[in-house]
Amino acid sequence: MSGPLSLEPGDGHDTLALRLATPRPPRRRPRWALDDETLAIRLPGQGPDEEAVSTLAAELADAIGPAVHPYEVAALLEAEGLSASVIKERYGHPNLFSLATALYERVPRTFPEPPPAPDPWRPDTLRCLLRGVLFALPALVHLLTAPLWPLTRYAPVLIVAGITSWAWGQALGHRAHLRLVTGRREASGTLLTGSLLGAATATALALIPGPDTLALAVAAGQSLYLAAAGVLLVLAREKLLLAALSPLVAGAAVLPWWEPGPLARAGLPLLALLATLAAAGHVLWRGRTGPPAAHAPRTPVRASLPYGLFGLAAAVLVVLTGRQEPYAVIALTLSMGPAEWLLYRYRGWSVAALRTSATPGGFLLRSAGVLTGCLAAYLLLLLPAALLTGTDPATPLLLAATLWTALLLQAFGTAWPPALICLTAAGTAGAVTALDLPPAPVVLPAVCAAAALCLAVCALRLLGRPSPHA
Amino acid sequence: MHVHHAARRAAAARVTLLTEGTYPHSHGGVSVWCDQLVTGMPDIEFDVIAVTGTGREPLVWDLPGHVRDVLSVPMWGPTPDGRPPRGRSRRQLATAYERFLTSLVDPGAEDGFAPALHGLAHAAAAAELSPFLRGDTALRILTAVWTRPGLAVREARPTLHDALTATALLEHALRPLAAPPPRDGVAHAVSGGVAVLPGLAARERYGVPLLLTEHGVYLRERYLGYRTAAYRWPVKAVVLGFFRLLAQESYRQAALITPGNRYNRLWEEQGGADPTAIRTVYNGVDPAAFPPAGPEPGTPTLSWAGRVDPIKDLETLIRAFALVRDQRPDARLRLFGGTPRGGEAYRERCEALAAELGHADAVTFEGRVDDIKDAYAAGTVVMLSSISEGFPFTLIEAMSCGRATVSTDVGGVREAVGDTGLVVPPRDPAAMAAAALELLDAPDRRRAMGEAARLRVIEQFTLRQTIDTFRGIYHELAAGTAPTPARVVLPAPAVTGTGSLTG
Repeated sequence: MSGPLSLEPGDGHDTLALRLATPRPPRRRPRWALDDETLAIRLPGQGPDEEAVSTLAAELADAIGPAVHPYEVAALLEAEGLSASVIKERYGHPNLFSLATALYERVPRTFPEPPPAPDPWRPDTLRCLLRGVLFALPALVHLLTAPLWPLTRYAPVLIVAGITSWAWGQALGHRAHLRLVTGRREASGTLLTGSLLGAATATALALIPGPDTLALAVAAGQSLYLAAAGVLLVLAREKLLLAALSPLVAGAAVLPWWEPGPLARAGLPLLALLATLAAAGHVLWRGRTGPPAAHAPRTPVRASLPYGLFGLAAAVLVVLTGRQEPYAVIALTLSMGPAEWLLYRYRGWSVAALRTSATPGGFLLRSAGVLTGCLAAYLLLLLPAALLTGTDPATPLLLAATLWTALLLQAFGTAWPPALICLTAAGTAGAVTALDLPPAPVVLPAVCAAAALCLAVCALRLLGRPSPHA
Repeated sequence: MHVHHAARRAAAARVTLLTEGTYPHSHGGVSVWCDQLVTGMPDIEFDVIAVTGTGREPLVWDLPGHVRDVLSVPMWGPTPDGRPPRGRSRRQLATAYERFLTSLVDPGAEDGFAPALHGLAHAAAAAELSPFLRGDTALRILTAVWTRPGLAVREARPTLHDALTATALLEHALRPLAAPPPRDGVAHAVSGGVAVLPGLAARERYGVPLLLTEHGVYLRERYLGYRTAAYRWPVKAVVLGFFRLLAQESYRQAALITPGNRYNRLWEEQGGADPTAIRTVYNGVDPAAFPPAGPEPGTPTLSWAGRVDPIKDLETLIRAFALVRDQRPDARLRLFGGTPRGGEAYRERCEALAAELGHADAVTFEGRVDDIKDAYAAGTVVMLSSISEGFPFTLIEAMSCGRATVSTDVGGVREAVGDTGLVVPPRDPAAMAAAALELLDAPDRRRAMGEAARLRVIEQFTLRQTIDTFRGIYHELAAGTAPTPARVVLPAPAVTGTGSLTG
């Protein structure tokens, strides 16, 4: 890069005015360049040769029409090699700018549309769907290992560890994405220490009820898996995670026809866990060997705090829902793939709305339409799943609306409002349920409805403005 | 100009170089020129305010001890810190910004640009401008301004997306306003455009004199660059309007403008510069570093040196060479110089053209050479085919080596060559071929021209002259003496040893 910086990010080296990306089409030679002996040299003082200027204007009309100022025409004429003597002798104008102004005024303005820009928010549909599947696949462990141990006895331990891992994973994911901007090596370092710390914390919490070796083992297994899977998902290695989980999928797939026996029932999940750990370790190791970034600005840890709090609240709400409607939770987990897809679409459609709006007011209306459309599409996807499994659709759909809108706000860097709204909802629902207060049966749909409403208002207020979409 | 040697000893002037995308973070012509100035004036303290891309660019020049500080002002990089203003200062900034935008799109309101820019500069100094421009108020102001009846931009049906794009471009372009401007000495902008912004702020706030050097014409390059940019008309109108009014304000505020060639004056005077405040200072070479090249090559050879880049119009050169070879089948064309990143396609196109014309055997791309002198020595005649130039180093280097030249009539080429070479219109292979044949067929004329060329460099375009001229200007401006419009009287040429200037 040398010389004036382009006002186009990532284009710094390309600063020359006349860089021609593609071969120029054969150009008609402008009249001044033709060796035309019949055109008499004009004597100075005769004034402009209107006919010659008009001919030139017609020849260059395509280039002059879109100009924003006569100076642009002057720059163009210079680049075409028009010399001062030709301007005087052939066109009778005293200088370049005089001729350029005459041409600019003679050619009507045109406003050609640039070629349609590619949608920067085009989602990778397959990847989004795969992520949804990957969130849900670990549930197969319960299918395989159910006969081996009393699941209900260890459920509290797993739930506490799971909620902890979820909250931690959300905060760590945010932090890792920030660090990825600095460099892959830096992000890998953050993920390595962060995921180990998170897994250790979640496992340690499982010890609270009292020392129990099996409880410790399953809690450690779950925490390590969630930490490792989180690493692979943040670093976009979905296919690797799918491959690591393949023993689990294979084991669960044969269950309807064949009893694999306790060894396989325990061994296959263990194999999947080890493969996931190995994959995450490998990816982090590769990331750590990259070159260090020259500048590594640190963001304060508190920036990731609301993401963790949101994860905590979301996990509590999901667990509470799962107590009532276990199948709904599986559907909700699977729907996280389409939810991500819709987050991308929201951004893409918002940009499209900006292109068709002339004023902030017009955009607000369209933005409301986009938000409604995305939410409706998401809920319509979940509704059949709820009806098929025979669950009451109200709670899962309201929870889904809450989570999606919160994720939408987070995607635009608005972290505290969704965290606080969801925490309030989860706290209220949790307290009412735990204390078994009178409104217990309806508290979950009620708080989710309130939270969804608050979040939608937030989204309209914050994202119905043009500036967040820059 | 008369150089006061006594004054030079008395007060060591302080100079703040204002650069964009060049010194000291990258290579290239203007960076070489900056390095020449800095290393040539150990008696002057330099600071550098360098507008950069991301702010992560490493320094690529060794900075001597008298360069005190380099401040990198990234135009892209992370979002600047700061909070949007509130209350009265918010209303003041909104008013200034509305006036600023109106000046960009309404030809009748251009007078408002300078005061509005100063209003923005004050907000920028308080770290309030960038956050303000990223907010909705700035967008609302723009959508209200450019839909006013009677404006051309309204006809282009601006959308909110255009408003967002234009505002973002302005936010980035105005980031240099937030750099702390120099408080004393001389502010020396080595190009027009956004590099000048801290200089304008320094002039307004502390009365620091502004010196503006233009090698190319920044505004002209912006117009050409934006022709291929994928923006809608309203975005281009606003951004190019900003660059145009910024150029005019820079020309008006500069205590002295030193274009690298006389040709640039056309744009500067059109832009409102006082003709008496324009003083051409040519680039210089060290005649000892580029001594006479010695005997000509055995076969008639046209040589060319430079970056392989479309702006050098090698296609015309290759077409011209094809015409030369019709007359002189033994002729060769040797092209010296590297291909910049991203320029490979252009080079392949040139090679394909040579092959298509049936001269692949006689046209050779020699690549980067260790000593650029070899490129000039390799030619019977040295060619320059560019469609845009300031005051090309390659040309005066070839002249210093005593070679006759054929070059295109762009920028300061005619001023450099004088009558010591042939000058032809750009993009005209027939004229270029005729000139090359004329010289190839006349060895005595060639030799005489080469000798005259070297003499012309020694008399007019030495590095020492350039440096002494700027030293004089610095002292003059620092002392507050108005620049004299008279012809620059240069001190006797002197010779110092430095390397190649083509970078």
